[in-house]
Amino acid sequence: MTRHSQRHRTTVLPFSYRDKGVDFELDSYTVDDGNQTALELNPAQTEIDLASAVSSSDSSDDPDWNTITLHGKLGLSEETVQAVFPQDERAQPPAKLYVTIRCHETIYRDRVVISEAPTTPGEYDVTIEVPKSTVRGTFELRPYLVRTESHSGEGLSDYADQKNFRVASGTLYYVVVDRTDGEERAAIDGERVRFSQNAHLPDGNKLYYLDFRNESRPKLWINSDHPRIAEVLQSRGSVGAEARMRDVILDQVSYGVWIQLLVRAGSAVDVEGDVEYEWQEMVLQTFARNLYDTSDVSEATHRLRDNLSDSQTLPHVIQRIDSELQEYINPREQLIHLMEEGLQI
Amino acid sequence: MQGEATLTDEQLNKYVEPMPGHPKADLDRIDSAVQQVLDEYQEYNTAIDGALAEDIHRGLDITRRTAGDPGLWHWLAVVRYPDLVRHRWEYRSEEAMREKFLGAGSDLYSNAIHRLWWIAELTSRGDDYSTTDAVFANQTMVNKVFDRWFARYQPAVQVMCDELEDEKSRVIDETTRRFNHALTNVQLEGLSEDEAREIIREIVAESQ
Repeated sequence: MTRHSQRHRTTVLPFSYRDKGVDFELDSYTVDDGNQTALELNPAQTEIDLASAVSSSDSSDDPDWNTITLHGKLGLSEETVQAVFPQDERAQPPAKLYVTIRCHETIYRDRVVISEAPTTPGEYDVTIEVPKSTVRGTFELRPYLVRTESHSGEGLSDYADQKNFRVASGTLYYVVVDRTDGEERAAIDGERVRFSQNAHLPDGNKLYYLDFRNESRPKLWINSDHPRIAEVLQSRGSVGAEARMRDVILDQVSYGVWIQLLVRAGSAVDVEGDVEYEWQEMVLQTFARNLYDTSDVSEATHRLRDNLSDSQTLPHVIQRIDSELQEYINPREQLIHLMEEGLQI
Repeated sequence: MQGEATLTDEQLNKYVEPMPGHPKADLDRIDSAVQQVLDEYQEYNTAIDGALAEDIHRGLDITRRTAGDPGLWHWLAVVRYPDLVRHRWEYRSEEAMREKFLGAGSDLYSNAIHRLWWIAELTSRGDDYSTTDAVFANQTMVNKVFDRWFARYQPAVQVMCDELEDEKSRVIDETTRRFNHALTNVQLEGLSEDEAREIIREIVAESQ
């Protein structure tokens, strides 16, 4: 997949570019003058949750820390250098290597330089200090290899030739330093996994699967057999093509998921108008009244149950659900954002 | 959002809570600047922004972390200075007015007071607010520069404002659009102020 992704990138940028050309691994962190603590991340894990490590004992007050320092390594391979620099520059690449820090909530963009030019292949120690005053919620770290000089000459059309052009980047990490109360637990769980390697998940090219084996707590599986899609779904930014694409994919997934949840919850309503599980209650509270244009949730859930169980009324209630979900999800809005991004309007 | 209504302390208090970190503010200074604007400027006059930005920025002694808390801006707009918001912004729609009172976050265009503080934060250099003043003197610059994502990188936004200060709207529009386009290849955070200036000057010259 990495190779596929890089081929895609090369066709987008007018020069050779390695999206995963810089190896970036964070291995530990320090809070203020405390001890260096190891980060025990899974192989593909890019979210680092430090919120509990820096949280205040009094949740109403600001967490009691001043600086978080993250430690790790950046690796630049011979292969990347050969791929992005012309022959005559490879011995002493005119490039700098740095890690960007971005925080959407604090409108903050900066960088920490790891290596000035020339940046030759090898391993570099990384130390990134992040003051509390500059970040909030989640901040992002991503390494870039960038040209420091322009270059003119014959046969350079395959390579970036201008100063400050990016030529390679690496893993984007999300570091969480604050969690709000509302983020504690979602109504249903979600997880990314390769469907092809799990017998209990459906065959074929499914994008997602809503698993009701445990009726009390459904689980949404996202198929990481499609890594490009799974990668986009993991993106956390609020601007740019990936974020726009993510929102459209999420709309598409959520439409299918809500339909299933709503039909399941509606079918589970008993004669008293009650349901057994919390998620069913949540779904009915959210949608039932709007489906029947009534303020009485009890009346609405009874009508939903009756309509779903009667073959005469089933097509009509499905049409109502479709209409309500289009209102609720509003896929038009995210599609327009994506179109504007794609068309550079 | 439209018409007049008075909210009592009792109605408001259940929604108001102390700010984490106990940030400090010179509200007397801001009160006085706001009163002066209400007395001296016509309704909906865009010059109100420039008249207030420095006082709001100096009066609120806060970090970016604190400024990222939407509650601060909601309190300032809804509780402390609702008259200012109404004086500056004409009611055009429920959604637009709601944004002026209840917007915040990373959208520089939303909350009426939030945008003044942030634009001053991004354009001031220590005690020097001359770039901030220049920006607010030219609404095209406010619209075209701060609507772009590069405006979050301080060296680039300061240079952009310096270089566009005396330019026509068409040049501002073209330059910000072309610089944004250049960032497809150029990595923004790698630019020093001098490097950003070199690129932006070239684009300004081509755009004239």
